[in-house]
Amino acid sequence: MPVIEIETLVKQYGKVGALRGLALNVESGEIFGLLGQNGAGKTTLVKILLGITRATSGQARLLGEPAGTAAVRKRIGYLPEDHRFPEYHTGYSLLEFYGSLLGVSRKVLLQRTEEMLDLVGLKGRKEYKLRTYSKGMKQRLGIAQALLHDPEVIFLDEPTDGVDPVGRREIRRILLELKAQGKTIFINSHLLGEVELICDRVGILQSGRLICEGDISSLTRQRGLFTIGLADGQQFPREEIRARGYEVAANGEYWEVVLPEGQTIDPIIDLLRARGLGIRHLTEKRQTLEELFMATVREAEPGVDAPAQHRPESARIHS
Amino acid sequence: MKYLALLKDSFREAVDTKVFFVMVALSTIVILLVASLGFQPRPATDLTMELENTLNLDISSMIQAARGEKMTLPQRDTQAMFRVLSITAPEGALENPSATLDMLIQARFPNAKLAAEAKKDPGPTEQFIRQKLASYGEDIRFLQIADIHLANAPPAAAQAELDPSYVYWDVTTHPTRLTQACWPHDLTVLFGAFKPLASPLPPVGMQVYIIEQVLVNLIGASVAILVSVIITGSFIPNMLQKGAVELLLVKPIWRWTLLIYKYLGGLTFIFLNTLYAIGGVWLVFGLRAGLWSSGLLLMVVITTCYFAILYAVSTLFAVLTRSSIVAILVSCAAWVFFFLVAQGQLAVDFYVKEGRIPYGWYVPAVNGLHYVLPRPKDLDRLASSALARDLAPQSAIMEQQMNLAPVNWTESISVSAAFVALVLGLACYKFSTRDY
Repeated sequence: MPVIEIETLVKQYGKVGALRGLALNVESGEIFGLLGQNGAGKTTLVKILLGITRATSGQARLLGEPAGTAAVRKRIGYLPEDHRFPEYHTGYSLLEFYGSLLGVSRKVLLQRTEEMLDLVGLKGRKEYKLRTYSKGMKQRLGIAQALLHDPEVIFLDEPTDGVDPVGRREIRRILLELKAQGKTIFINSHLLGEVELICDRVGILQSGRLICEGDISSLTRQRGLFTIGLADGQQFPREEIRARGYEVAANGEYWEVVLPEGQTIDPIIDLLRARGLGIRHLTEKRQTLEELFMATVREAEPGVDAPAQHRPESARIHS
Repeated sequence: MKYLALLKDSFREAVDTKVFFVMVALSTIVILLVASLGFQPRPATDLTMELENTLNLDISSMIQAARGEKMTLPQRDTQAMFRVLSITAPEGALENPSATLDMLIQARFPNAKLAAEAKKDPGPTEQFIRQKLASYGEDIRFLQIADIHLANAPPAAAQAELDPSYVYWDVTTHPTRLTQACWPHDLTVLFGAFKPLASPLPPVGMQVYIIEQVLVNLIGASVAILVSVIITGSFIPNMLQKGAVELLLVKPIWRWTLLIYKYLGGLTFIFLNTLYAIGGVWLVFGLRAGLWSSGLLLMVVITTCYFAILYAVSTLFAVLTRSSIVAILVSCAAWVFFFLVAQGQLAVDFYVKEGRIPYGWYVPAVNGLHYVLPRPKDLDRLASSALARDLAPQSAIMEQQMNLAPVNWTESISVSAAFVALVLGLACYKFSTRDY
């Protein structure tokens, strides 16, 4: 059952369309990553889902109810991008404050505050003012406040931004643990490597439109491209395979074989075996998420922060 | 729980700005300054002139004197003029305001015949003395007459005082709740280090009234409100900063509730500050001068109400602009504007009635503004009246008598409350419908 249901969602800021007929479903218990360039509409979408911003038209439902209602907000956790915690708080008092606004009972709040600070590794700094925290510590505290009331759905906008590699790994571990508990996690991120490591599905947003969506393994698979490695000292029958209509190219000690339209890799495997060759390596080649992202957004219209050399002639600054 | 959380948050924010400590320090200095004042009771004989005034004059003539008009003796129930010849305290010290007092009062009638009639039938004159002695009006009495009876002339009376037109009464009085306030006292400063003013000084209540009017009602309240506007001016803009407001808006709380709680949080914070400052002064005056003025405590509520009007304006502009500077400046401008409108309305009303300026377009303009804007000036008058009622009853009566345009409290409170509700309503509407 979808936890997040979005239908033809439109958000206009004056003449600028931030979201243009967006449709998306996120299932319960999955980690969904929303990718996109700056200004693509990622944060706007999350803000609409949370009731911080209102949609111009279209529908968005969270946990089966209209998005943004107080009842729904009680069941979600949120870490905004570029969050600014009041610096007069300590780590502990901030969680206590937010917990009180969430309506968490005093007894539960005391217990959860300690647990969350422990979870994000800030227990030792809980009585320090936030102005003494590093960016990474604030980010971890942000995750703690998002999880404080044990929400069913968690929205994280750039959760690993400013966090060191050790901290990132720890955050990944926390998110995977939450997933194991059945939580649904929605992540906005620029860090494609991070997203690739933890997300089940991703969507790519470009100028307010969802231009690509699916599970990571399917999206990154490059259909028809296989890498084959033979046992040491054996000769790859390159010309024989070419003669059958396959493209073959050397790639270091491996060979890359491109399947012709409508063909499978099976005839090649049969051929190699018939020649008595030992197959030591056979994989269908994948592209990285970054490669997929770059290829996808390049196909679509450029975003607001496209590099200068890609801008149209009319947009260049002439000296 | 949510309200308390926001209140606590406002408190943390204010403490963090350090201005809070400046405010507490200023309040403490004022309290210590007041605590250094000493009030030493004078002998009851210093009451003589005040007692004679209550018998021979009345409020109308005092007002005439205050207005600089020619004073005329009013129509009275007796034609006698009174003098207090002696005051004694048979059971205690003369310097004790709670002592029972015996006094010999001399009445001089226009002629011997009237004096003889008064001696023969002393009832009407005694009734007059019972009504007027130590009284500023109905139920405003600083000594209670316990006993009154005809007396002989004092043994050491001068020949003139043996005149048959003189009649004498012995009067016994008990203290009332106003005796302490109306009792003459010497004033010392810096814990008795020196006496800045020579006797006779006004009664201690009047001294305290003047000090409170200047120190608390005028300077103290103005400084407190200004500092409060500055401290709280950043509360809401800080809450609405990008990156901070989102964290609050995703909580399961209505936006308007969040804003109102934040407003009430700021208000409560200022209320507690004011309570500390004015409560401290009240306590010190109570302990040092024996005067426990509930009117002074009312100042806590009045100052908070005054601030509530300005904070509503601050809240609206904070929501509109998210700027602390704009919120503070507009609040201060509104404060000055309300004051000018109130003063302008009083001045125009007075000069038009007196015929000193012609009736023109500015009369309905000023009156119109006055009727739709909050009335902080009325709160000032309420504060003054409350202080005068407890500390300086003679001033309270004079103020009452001189009051040319009495305040319509229902209208004043309704207009101010409606203004606050309207401004906060606009702020809530804007906050609830805005995208962040």
